[in-house]
Amino acid sequence: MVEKVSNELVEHARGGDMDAFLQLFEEARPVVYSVACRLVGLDEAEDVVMETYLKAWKSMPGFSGRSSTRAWLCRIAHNCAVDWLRRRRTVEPPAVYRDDGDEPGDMSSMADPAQRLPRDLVADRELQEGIDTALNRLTPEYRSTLMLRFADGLSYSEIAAATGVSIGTVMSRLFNGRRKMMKALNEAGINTAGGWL
Amino acid sequence: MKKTSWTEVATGLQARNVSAGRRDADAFARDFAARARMVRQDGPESRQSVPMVWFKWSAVSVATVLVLLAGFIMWPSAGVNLVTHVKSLRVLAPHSGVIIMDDESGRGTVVWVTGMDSDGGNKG
Repeated sequence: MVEKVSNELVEHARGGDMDAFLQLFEEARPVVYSVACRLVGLDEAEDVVMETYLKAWKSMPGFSGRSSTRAWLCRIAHNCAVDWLRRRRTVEPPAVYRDDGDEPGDMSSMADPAQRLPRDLVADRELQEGIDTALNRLTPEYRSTLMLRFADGLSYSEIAAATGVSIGTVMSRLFNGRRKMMKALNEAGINTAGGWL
Repeated sequence: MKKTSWTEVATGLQARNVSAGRRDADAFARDFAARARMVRQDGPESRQSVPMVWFKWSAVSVATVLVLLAGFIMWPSAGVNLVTHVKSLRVLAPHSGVIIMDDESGRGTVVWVTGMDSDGGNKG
């Protein structure tokens, strides 16, 4: 039933129905936003998302519906981000990774701090800071691949579409990225478990 | 000293999910609708791939026609033949002779009637 509704939405969207288009692709917007953040940074992510959706709207009559909507949008988002970066021509790292002394990443999904020992909180904070430091030591390719997988929850094929590489390369980057991450954490003073170094 | 596992690192990465920072759906939809109205959707045919062989044959056909056309225009005798080959000429007025000359520079033919009597035409 879901597939049928989805096919109907695809047909309507291909016929120029804007509501159907938005209904079809709204579900993928968090993923597209994450991809844009990882590739161009927080400040300009919304612009890239809008550009991605406008390009998707323009190309909608050619969308067969055979591939996943998320992967299709990820591919378009990748192209938009590459164009965007080419226009911007800056080597400044995206804001999400900037190590400017601000608080580390959002901790809201972690356990309630009130129920934890101060010693654990300090350890958590050290780990979060260590993760920030380690992320900044990774190359952009490894960093974005790890973040898209572990922070944003994209599938291998979605990461491949979003970064413009093959699934094999994604898997290789994830494997090596984890090793490099643990090594960088070790160098940042976090005692990591063996097996990844 | 406690060792940090990859699971803990992955949990730390998970906390860096950024998708919550995106615009709300209504605001995005309004903005999108306003902009999308100015974007024309591609036609369905624009996505259909045309076999490469058709491009090649089209190019060959066009090139052949151009070469033939250029040859017809540039060939010295082509076109001029129709003008210079005067098969017969009838002069009604009394005259002593007719000289026919091809003028290649002007790509034309000069017909020179000699010894012509200007009143002869009225007589006969």
